[in-house]
Amino acid sequence: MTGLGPLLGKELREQWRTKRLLVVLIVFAAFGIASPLLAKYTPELIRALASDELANAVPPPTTADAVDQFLKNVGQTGVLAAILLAMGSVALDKERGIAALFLTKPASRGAYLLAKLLAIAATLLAGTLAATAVGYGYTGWLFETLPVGGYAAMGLLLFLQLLVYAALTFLGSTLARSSLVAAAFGIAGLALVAFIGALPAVGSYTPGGLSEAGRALALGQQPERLIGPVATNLATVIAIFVVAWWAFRRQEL
Amino acid sequence: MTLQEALPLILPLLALQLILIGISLWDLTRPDRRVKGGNKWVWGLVIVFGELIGPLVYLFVGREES
Amino acid sequence: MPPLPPADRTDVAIGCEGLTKRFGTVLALDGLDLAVPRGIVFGFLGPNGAGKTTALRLLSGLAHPTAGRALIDGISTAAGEPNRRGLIGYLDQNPRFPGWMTGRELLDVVGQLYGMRGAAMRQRVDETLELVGLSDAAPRRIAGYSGGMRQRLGLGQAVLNRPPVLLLDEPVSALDPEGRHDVLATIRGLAGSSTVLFSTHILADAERICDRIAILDHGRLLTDATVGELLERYAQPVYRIEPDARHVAVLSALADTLRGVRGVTDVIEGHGELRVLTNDPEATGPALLAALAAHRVGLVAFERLRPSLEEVFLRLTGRGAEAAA
Repeated sequence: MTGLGPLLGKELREQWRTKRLLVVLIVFAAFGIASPLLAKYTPELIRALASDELANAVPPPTTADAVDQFLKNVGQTGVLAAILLAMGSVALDKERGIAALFLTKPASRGAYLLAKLLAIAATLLAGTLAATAVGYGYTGWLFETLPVGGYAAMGLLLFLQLLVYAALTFLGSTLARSSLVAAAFGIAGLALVAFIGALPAVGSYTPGGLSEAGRALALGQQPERLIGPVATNLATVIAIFVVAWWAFRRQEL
Repeated sequence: MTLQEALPLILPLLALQLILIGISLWDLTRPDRRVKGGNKWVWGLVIVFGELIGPLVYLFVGREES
Repeated sequence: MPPLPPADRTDVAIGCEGLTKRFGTVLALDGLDLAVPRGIVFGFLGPNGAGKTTALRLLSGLAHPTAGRALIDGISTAAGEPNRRGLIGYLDQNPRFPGWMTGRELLDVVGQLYGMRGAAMRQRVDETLELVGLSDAAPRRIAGYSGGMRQRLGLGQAVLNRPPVLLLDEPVSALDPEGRHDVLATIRGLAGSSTVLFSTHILADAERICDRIAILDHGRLLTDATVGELLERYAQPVYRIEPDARHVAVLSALADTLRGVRGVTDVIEGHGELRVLTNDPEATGPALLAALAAHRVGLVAFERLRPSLEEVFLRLTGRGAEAAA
């Protein structure tokens, strides 16, 4: 891992200076705010606009609805952000010869890849934490105060979920020379994960399964499974990185 | 709680949206900025009318690195 | 020409042993053998597609040979070991940088990779910016740099740690004539402490600063010698004769006359002057003057041209360098 420190410093500064970190923070925070608001006011809007009969059929919003909205909205935006963050990371550097610039220096290819993936992870983590913080505040304001620890744990599980999609796209970006191919790789990965997630026994071990555990934790309940899904997804990220590294070591730049 | 009472809660959301559009337009109008497809007006429309996702897409894939 | 030492000897900084690179059906480099002694400036000449860039990329460890070995200081480049030890500085023919960084920030990151820190690094970065003429541009974003400035920055990042071996691919191609002169002088100044291998298709540049030159074409090494040896061996002496206006009208007749002079192998007409090729310059010079005097030809100019690499190149590759590039 020669040169990891300087390369990581460069990658983290790049996240800030290209405004990627800022835009992720803002977009995630916005969805963190919007989710409890939507949960609260969508039923009221329907009631105001619809006939009395239909209005009575709309159940009053619950805290669980706020959590579901949060997981859905921040999750979807997060997956988009994860793919956008990772798709160009290695492919564009190879295309532009920037990888060659740094890799003729005392910098190993493993360190180069790890610095990039860690910087993407840092941006996603910052975004998820921002969304979680404002989501927690708004949910408390509009509904009821939830346990802080459980809600924060949901945020971290959501982050791990996004990291899996980022890693899949990152692998595509390492294998391909074009960021569009990398994005296609990420989307294909998303579809594959959704397919596996629909299977009965293994579903809760997929990234989507982390949402179930997160939902339970946020609402102060005991999740059905926690350690297994977390370990499985962490191992998936590490395995994807190792494959990317193995491929990148043999590549010509 | 009525919608009127909720306005203070919604305002931060609008503020974030405006900041995001501001940052993106500021970036778009830099003289040394080149964009994918070459047409800055198209990207301007994406930023202004793309809600939260428009600026996100512009800042991530719309910019051509020098 | 003295025989070259074997590529793995300790006084050899850059070595190639049967270095071969194949892209599909294209043989980009065909069994290149090379041994560049320490401390010299070595020029890689050849038309585009000759294999210069491929050889440099193999030496820099960015590409992997199909066969053979590339060695820096006797260490094979295949596993990237010379890079890890900071032995090489590499400049791409079209250097690109992260546009959001400033020139100074880029050199700072490169310095950190070489293990530099604090005041020592600051001083080295300042010196290097000065060396490549980018001190004023250092605090600006690279996105706003011109092609020439990028090439200078590329040279700066390559020489930052004063590596023992510098691999420079077309280091002056994007520069204006003045910048070209400065950068070539800078490269020349690095010889001694570094061994410089640089590629170019501009023969005058190679002639100006190289101690030794290799000419490549179609992936093969045509020759490898000092500039003096090349000129002596391949360049034919030439006399340039520019007659006065009265005789320009009868240039062809004059050319026919001079073809009969002793030692003359060919006479080329054009642009109101004659170029006389000879295989016996000592005898031909006086004979030409005598013939001109006998025919009462008024002269604007009569000179023996310095032999140039251009001719050598033309004879070896069968193409003009500029035309081929």
